[in-house]
Amino acid sequence: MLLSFVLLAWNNVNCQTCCSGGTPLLGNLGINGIEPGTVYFQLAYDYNYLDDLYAGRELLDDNTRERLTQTALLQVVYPFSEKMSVNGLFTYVGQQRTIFTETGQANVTETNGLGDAVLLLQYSVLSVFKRSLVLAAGPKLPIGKFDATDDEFGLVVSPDLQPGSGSLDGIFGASYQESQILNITGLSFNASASYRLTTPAKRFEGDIKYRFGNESMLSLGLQKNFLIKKIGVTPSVFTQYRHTSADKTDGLTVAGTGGDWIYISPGLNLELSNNLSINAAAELPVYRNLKGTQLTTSYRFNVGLAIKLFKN
Amino acid sequence: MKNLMYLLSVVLLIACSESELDDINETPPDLGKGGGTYSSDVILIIDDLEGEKIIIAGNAVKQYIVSFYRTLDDNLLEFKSTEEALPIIMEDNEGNSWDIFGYAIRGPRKGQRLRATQSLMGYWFSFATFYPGLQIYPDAEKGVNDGEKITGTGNWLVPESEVRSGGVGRDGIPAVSTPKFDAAGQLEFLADDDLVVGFSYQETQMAYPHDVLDWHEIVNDVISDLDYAIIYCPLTGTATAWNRKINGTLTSFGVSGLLYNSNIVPYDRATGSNWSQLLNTAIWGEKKGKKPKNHMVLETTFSTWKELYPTSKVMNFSTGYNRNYGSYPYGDYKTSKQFIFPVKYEDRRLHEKERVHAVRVNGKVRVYRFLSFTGN
Repeated sequence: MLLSFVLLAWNNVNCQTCCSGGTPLLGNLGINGIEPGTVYFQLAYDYNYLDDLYAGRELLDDNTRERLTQTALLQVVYPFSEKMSVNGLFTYVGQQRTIFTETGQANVTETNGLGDAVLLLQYSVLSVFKRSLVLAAGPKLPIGKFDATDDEFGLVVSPDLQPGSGSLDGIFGASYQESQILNITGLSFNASASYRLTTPAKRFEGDIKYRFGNESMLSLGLQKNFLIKKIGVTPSVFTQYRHTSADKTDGLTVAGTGGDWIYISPGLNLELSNNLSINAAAELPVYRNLKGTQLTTSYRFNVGLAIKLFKN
Repeated sequence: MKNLMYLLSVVLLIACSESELDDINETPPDLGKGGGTYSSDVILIIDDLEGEKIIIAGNAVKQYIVSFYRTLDDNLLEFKSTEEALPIIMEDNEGNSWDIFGYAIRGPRKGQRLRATQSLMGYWFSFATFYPGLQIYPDAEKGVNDGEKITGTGNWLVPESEVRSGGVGRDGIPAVSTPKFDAAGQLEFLADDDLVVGFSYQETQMAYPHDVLDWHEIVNDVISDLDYAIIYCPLTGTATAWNRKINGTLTSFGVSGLLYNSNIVPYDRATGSNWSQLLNTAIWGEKKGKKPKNHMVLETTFSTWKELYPTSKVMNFSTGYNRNYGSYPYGDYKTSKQFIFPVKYEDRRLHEKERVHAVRVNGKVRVYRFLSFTGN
């Protein structure tokens, strides 16, 4: 249950805007509690719809474009010991951009392909009756497609439309959980933070170095476990804060990238058996303060199927 | 719990204190303020380019440069500056007074118009990459890459590999087709040093602020019987006015979302052909090789425009789109030495983003700097 909860919490964090680009990788990263002897798999689907055009804190009345990012995610957590595990996240990303012209025509550009992957080494710093703290660090590997082209001219599309980011980044994070808070059985508090340190990616045969902005996220939330007809039911609500710095191209700040977001994310996890659970979560923006003018997430949801396999 | 909060605080502190310092760049010269040391009178330069005799008139303080052929009806005119108020900028040896758009306002040639050179204002780097080896007035020295030629590949008149997707997609930057205007003297949303692209036809003058063009790049407009499009590229800082009748067929232009040498590639909606603004040619599609008919534009500050034509019309922000028009959408691009998209040739004799006036005659280009129009 701890595992599912943490994953659910992390799944809710947004990571995709039109101009800030990249795939929703960090947002889908779960720093999981370590369950010795249990190999964890999660297959998830993420739907990220972007239709809000913001200038700073102002929502602009605009209906000229929309974006959709759909991602299939496979996460595997393999424990080496009681304190250490490796956490791998692999993605397949589909991007779609639609531009509505004044003549009513819709210009659609689509790309899809393998996204980047993350490998984290997780270490359990604290694991006692009520509390657990896990630290994690590892690389984001640029195995994703970064040379996707448009259908019309075969030209390489912009970085934010690519399935991958093209850069080798560092991911650092921590996740804390405290259960039975306020002496209420089944009520837990979760907090987690992560940081993505980016490096430049080469574009246009290396003529330009593009660097996505560094990214940090904080998530705080509560969950409550119930048992209904032998099914573990865990509703949750989280709030997430996300900050990204602006992208750089050859050292020049890319306008319309970077900003601050706060989301509210309700979620539900159903533990159908000891080794099978399903989860779903939505993400609703409540505060956005973006640099320049950006198309940003209107809403996002994801669903997942988690399986545990016991080694012994 | 206390330890946890401390840990989270440290992680967040590291994240949010991340340096976002922009690169420190030398900025291009800004002679517009003048500092009280520059003349505000028109400065004339008589020049000879590729055997053509031309006159360049400008002023650094008032931020305008225009250029014309000196020959009219096979007569070579001798010009001198005038102390008359704008828009009159010069007189000739026949007793004519000429305005900034090249119209004879007074004298025996009243109503006639000087032939404007094929010229435009823009960032230095854009001319350096499109016309390698170009000269900078008054130097005769040729720049690097002199003699380099463009060879098209695939279905393009230019190297296909050098055509880039700008990232926004076709019509992702929406052209404006129903511009609205206010009287220049009544506008409050433009600052005096904001740049505008001025246009004149018959007795009508219109101005299109960079504040709007930065967000839309193309305005399809009409004055009387003239259908034209103002085409502006924020990345090269170049503005042109193209006739929208091509081979007798009326069209409008849109933003293709493509760039060639970091310069806008408009497309015409009648055929879908892609055009290069700075090559002044269709480079892909049915109209490939076709050249648009150009009309003269005048780029200057809003304060100078008001002085020139106080009763003219200036495009306002009622574009039909909701954009943050008061803000420049490209960060510190216009003063930085960096590019967003690569260019073929670089020539570092001037700051990449110095605004210059480029005159093209018979395929050769010479650049004129505001520095030559200070009166010092």
